[in-house]
Amino acid sequence: MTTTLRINRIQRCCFHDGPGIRTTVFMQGCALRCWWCHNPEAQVAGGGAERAPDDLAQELLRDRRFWDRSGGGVTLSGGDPLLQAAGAAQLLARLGAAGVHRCVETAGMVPVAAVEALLDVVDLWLFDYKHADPADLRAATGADRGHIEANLTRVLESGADLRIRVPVIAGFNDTPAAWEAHAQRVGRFQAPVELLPGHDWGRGKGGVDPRRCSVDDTVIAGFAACLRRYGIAIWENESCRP
Amino acid sequence: MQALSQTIDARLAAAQDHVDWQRAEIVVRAWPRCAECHPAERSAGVLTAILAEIDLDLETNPMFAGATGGKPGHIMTMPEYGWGADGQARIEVPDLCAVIDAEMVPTAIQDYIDQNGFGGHHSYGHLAVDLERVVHGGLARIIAACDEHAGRGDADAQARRRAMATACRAVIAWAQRYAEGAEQRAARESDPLLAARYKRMAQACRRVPALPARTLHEALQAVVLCHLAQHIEGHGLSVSLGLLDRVLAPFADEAVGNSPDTAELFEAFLLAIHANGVHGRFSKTQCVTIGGADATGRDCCNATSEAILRAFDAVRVPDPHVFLRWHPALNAPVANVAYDMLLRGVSMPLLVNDVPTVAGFERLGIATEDAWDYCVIGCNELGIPGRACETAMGPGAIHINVVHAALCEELAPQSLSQWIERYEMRVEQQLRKQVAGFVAQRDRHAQERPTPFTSALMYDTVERGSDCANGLRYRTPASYERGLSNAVDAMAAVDALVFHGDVSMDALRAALRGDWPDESLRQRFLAVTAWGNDDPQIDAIARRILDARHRAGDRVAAALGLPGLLYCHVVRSLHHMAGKTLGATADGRHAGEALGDSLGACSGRALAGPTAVLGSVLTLDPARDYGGGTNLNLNLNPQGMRLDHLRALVEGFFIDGGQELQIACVSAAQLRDAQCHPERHRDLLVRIAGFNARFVELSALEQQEIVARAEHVC
Ligand code: SF4
Repeated sequence: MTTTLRINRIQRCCFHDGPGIRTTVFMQGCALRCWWCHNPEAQVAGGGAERAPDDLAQELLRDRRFWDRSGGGVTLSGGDPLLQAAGAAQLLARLGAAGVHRCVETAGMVPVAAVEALLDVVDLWLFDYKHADPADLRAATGADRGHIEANLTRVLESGADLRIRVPVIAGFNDTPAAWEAHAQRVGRFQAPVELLPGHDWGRGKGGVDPRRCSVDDTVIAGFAACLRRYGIAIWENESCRP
Repeated sequence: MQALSQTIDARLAAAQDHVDWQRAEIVVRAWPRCAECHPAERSAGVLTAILAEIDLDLETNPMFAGATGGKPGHIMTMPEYGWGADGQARIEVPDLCAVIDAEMVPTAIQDYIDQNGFGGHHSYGHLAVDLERVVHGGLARIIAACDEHAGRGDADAQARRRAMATACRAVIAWAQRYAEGAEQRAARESDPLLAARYKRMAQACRRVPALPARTLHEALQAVVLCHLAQHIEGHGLSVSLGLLDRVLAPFADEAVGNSPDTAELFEAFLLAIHANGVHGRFSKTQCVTIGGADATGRDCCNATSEAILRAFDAVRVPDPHVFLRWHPALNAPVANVAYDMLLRGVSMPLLVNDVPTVAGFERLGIATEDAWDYCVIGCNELGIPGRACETAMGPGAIHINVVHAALCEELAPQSLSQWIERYEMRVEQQLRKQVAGFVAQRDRHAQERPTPFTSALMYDTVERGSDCANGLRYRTPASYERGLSNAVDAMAAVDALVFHGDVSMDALRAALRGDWPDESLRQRFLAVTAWGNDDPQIDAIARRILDARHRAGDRVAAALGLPGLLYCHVVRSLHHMAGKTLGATADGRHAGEALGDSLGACSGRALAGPTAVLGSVLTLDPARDYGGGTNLNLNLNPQGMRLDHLRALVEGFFIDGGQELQIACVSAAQLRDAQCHPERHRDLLVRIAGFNARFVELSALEQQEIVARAEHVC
């Protein structure tokens, strides 16, 4: 059975969402409500354009010449692509058959069945771990830490390639205490971590919260140093440094 | 930058723009003496007089002799053509043009222009001579060849050959003047380092360009003198430096390791070319081409290739500019230096791909070994040093103008096919007139304003006794185009909204006549997907337009007995000039707005990002569609981009057949900062469309265009 996908937008020639040059598909729908979210219009499940996975794959493949020469591919982002696991799995299988490298970005607040549906069709997981403190996490995003950790563990147990991504947000996880807690909690997953500094583009416009969320370089450096003290490897500029 | 180059650069930067009437005065005096001669001998006689008298400049650049005037900042005067500011210069360097406009032309010179002026401001340029014969053969050998063939051909050929020999002697004598001046200067100099530089200059000028160069310095000295002599002879924009690294290959050992001495040599060389006073500091797009493969597929880079690139990176002058010929086996260190420069926002080198370019020349019957010697001879126009230099030919077909005129015919087209048919008819009429006009104009140059020195440096001209205006090995007139993106967008929008939508043709034509009085209607036209978004349906329209243009061009070429036409899509600032006189168009463009600035998407319309622009352009057939050269601006946001990303973009495009890339990795934020604090960004070089410029020196109009372009990058 073919399922359609609800797509917020497609962005070609991305350098940030995984290795090489990538085409990122922002999918519709997210279970969280992070206050700093830049894509509030992608949070609702019903919006966006409806696309058939095969037809979408054809369109995405137009940038193949650039993926092949840079080790790039397609990244599903959102929203949370795992909320459309069936369609995403079809799309990724199609791309996999064409030999394309596939990443999925997820916030992890999805049914475990969704994770399982994608385990065989994802080459690299970019898995958000936003905050180690369950109460702070719930307050700022609505997420349940235990549920996210269970899904994260499920991916790791499958032996899949995974990077933990941490959006570093002013007033949320930019303090040494938060870093310390993060390092302790994340350390147990034995996966490298990529720190993504928050930025203020589009603040206050189109439903985006007006509060500042950007942090300066010293925050990123402090956070990275703290993680390294716990033996956690850091991804920077698409290379992993212990 | 090396210390010496810094000093030279500072001298050039501090120079005041000023009109230098000396050359004009000499011409006015020398002309009557040669009035009865064969025109080529008259040209040679005038050149002899100029080079015997023109002020030497020994102070600005102690490394290389040769200058078009006595002081930096001069604007050379060429009354045998005319006088005034170039139209593109008015857009690019309005302050320089104000100096030109404010100048009173001396009466004797004005009288001379009124009587003898050929028209324009200078000769056609857009050529590359064979520097191999300058550097490794020497002018004495060319003179000997003239003597050897003296009796051959008719009286015209014999006179032209005599003129070539005379012109070469004039250039040798000019070098001797510099040798003498440098010897005296060395004797006066108390600084031993500077004295040694002048001695070396003197020694070089005693030898070159008469005899073959023995060292890298002598080779570059020969190039400087012969390059500037072509300008002094009368050539204006785009006299190119050919395949410079190949010419210098026998001296590559001297450049290995790019020592400070080598760096100093190349930097001072570029500054000597930069100081060229034709039209003052207006960019003359003096192009250096490096890299590439030969006909056997062998990479032609050598140690001078990298040294040349690094010198361009160090001096950051807008003119000369450098093109790197790309091919799959391009020397990796040279390619990496290039990518690194681009990633740092240097806007150079420009990249051109061997395979489709050579194929474009071969289509016109150019021999394979000649085709592999191609170089850039202008902003982007292509030619073959000494053999084929006719790609830049003036107005050509401005696609959007033709498309617009066809739309506005009394009976409007009823379908896209009908519209394209009418476009084809109009293009054919236009090309017929223009190509014939071009050929006639070149004949007129050869008859009335021949340039025997430049001709002497070409292939076959000595043997034939011909002028380079119309007597080169290959004749390759081109159609000189722009506005393709506007034309495609206009057709796509009308197809969607008029032929297949709810807007009536009458309503559209009324909107165009009134310059889009209803903004909401204009927005609907702008909302239709544009060229440059890798949309197969839209891109197919571009191909249909070019198929039609091509059929028309083939008929015109056949009628004129030419093997075919080359086509250039070259913009420089002509998109502003063309836009100014064009009313509102169906692509949503307002009357007077600039046209698209390259073969890529119109400004602000590449919504799917840079790879989609490349995808659209890859649907064209560069060998057929733009064999004469094209410019494709690709703006990339440098944030997060690494060298391997850039390499993948270039290789992905070129391996699949793309022809040319002008990459700019400058963020809008950086540009805006430069607008606010020009003093901090004096070295910020940007690529406009066919030329480079220091951003802070651009007019407000051009600055705004560059910022807008950078803002529309995803
Ligand atoms: S997880 Fe991402 S898409 Fe979902 S609300 Fe948070 S920031 Fe927005």
